[in-house]
Amino acid sequence: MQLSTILLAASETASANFLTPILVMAVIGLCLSLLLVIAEYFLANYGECKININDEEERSFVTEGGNSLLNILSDRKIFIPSACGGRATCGFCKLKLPEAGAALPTELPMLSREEVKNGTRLICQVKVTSDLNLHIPQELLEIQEFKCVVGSNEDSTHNIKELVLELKDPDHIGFIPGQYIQFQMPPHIAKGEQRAYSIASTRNEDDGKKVILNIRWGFGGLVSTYVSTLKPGDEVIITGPYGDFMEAETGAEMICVAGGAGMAPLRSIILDLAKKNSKRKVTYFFGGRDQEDLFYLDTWAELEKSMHDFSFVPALSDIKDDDTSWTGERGFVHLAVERYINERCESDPEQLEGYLCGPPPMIDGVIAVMTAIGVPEEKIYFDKF
Amino acid sequence: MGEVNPFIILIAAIFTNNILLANFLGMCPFVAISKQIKSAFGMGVAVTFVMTLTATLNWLVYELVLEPYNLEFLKFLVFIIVIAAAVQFVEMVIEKSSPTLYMNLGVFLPLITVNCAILGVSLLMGNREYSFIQSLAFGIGSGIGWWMAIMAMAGLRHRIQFSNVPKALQDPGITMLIAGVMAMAFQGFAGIVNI
Ligand SMILES: Cc1cc2nc3c(=O)[nH]c(=O)nc-3n(C[C@H](O)[C@H](O)[C@H](O)COP(=O)(O)OP(=O)(O)OC[C@H]3O[C@@H](n4cnc5c(N)ncnc54)[C@H](O)[C@@H]3O)c2cc1C
Ligand code: FES
Repeated sequence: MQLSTILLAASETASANFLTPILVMAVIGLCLSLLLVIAEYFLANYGECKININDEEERSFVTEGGNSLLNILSDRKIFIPSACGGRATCGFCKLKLPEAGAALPTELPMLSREEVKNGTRLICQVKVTSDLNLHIPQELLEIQEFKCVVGSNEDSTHNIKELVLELKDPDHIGFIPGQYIQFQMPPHIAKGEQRAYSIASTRNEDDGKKVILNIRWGFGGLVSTYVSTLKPGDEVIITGPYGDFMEAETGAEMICVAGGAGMAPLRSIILDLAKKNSKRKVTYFFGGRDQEDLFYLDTWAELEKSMHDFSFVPALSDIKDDDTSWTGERGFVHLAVERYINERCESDPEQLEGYLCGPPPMIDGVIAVMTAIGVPEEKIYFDKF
Repeated sequence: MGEVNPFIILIAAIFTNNILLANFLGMCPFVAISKQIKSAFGMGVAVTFVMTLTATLNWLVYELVLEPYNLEFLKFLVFIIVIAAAVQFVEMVIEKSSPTLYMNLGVFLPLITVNCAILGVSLLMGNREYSFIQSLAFGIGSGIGWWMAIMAMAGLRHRIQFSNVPKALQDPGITMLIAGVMAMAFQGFAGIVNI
């Protein structure tokens, strides 16, 4: 009431007339902000929540509620695979959490019926509002954070950069070829954003002190664009290793198929086979549009000579019919795979193993072709980018 | 204007004076969110809710603050601030009470802040000098009217997916044409009631 008397008094004196609107606006603005702050205090305050991990006292902790479980865990340096960076599109961040309530509509596309029933959630979509009991598999608890410095960042092709990271703290990484790391955006540019990138270097290459990545850029993506601007000496943070895309040690003939940056995990796996003097027959199909999309050609030429039974088969889809400079496979890569298995492959299709990496439409195409010929679906391993 | 029955205002706001099809306010989300029936429904609910809330809030602010101090000229600024705050508040309440609904409405709620139909309702009721109850009826009615219109459009666009629309007219083009035809059809209600 006092305030309104002051305001009225102010508006009555002609000289202060211009002050009234300013005061009124200020008061309205203040009142609304105050209301929102009060509302936030009552509505968005979840108090302290106890997070119990594997019933281990030393891992369990108490945290302020209101944040996503994925972020809370990563603040505590517990890293759960989250290739899409928390947008509910990769489905990697699953944990069983019956006490956190039913899955949200955003999660359903990534969960099977069975998982919905047993209370599996995408933890990037779980907001912590009460005490939780988690069971996190041991191998996930071993995932570490690495501080790195960019060693080099060169063009492999017109749209793929080869990023070499030198590990500083800890100074080496142990991983199984085929696995990936997650690249964290610096908090001042995009807090909490991270993306998965497969490791292209192999086991014990440079004693595990370096990590090589192949990163496709040039389509305006947040993280890939940022990575393309990195210069030697820049500091970055990665976490890893993650993933179960790796060689099944069986001795069966391997059909490897990649496109674009899908090169990375297969380079790692194949170099590892070479190092182990593996006797497996390996055929590596690589799809691209034209010669400009091919890279690491020297490596493949060398391995064709030195490995027991390895061949590199690039297939290019945009070569003109009258262009004689290209003598390799033409057309989409899944058709090259089909021709190979049908016409030249000596193993039974049931005995083959598939290792596929690249853009989802390419993977779907190759899976369709391979299963149609008779390669068992459970023997086709893939990472969709 | 004091004598118009609030119930008549409600009906008129839904049919004869539909905020979207008679005044062409709120066209942007109408075109953008009417691709799927489910999203259109979510947007309709959110708009109706916020429209009702802001119409009454803005009426109070106008009558109790702006008019006594002869500050009617500030109404644009003040109404927008009130709408923004109200949307924030609604977001918080929904997030707390129903995470599922919150996820479904997700992007639509913040979008409403800049929906001109919401501001339009607040401004129109001022011009027409409605009482509190009349404003409430006008807010609800306009919201329901907008909701109905976007649902109808979503249904039509769902069917159009299977028809052969000339390339240049696809998506927004044909949507605008349909909106025009719908507006003409709604003129058929004119004369039943008027405000
Ligand atoms: C297991 C795993 C391993 C991966 N390994 C690699 C790797 O070794 N190298 C690599 O480059 N990427 C890899 N990816 C993909 C990578 O994680 C990012 O998704 C990718 O770099 C895009 O992130 P962004 O932030 O640049 O784009 P965003 O900002 O996330 O996306 C921007 C837009 O670009 C679109 N988009 C996303 N990817 C592409 C694309 N490739 N081409 C065209 N448009 C696209 C998106 O649909 C989106 O609309 C991997 C992904 C997974 C799941
Ligand atoms: S679904 Fe990708 S992080 Fe949760």
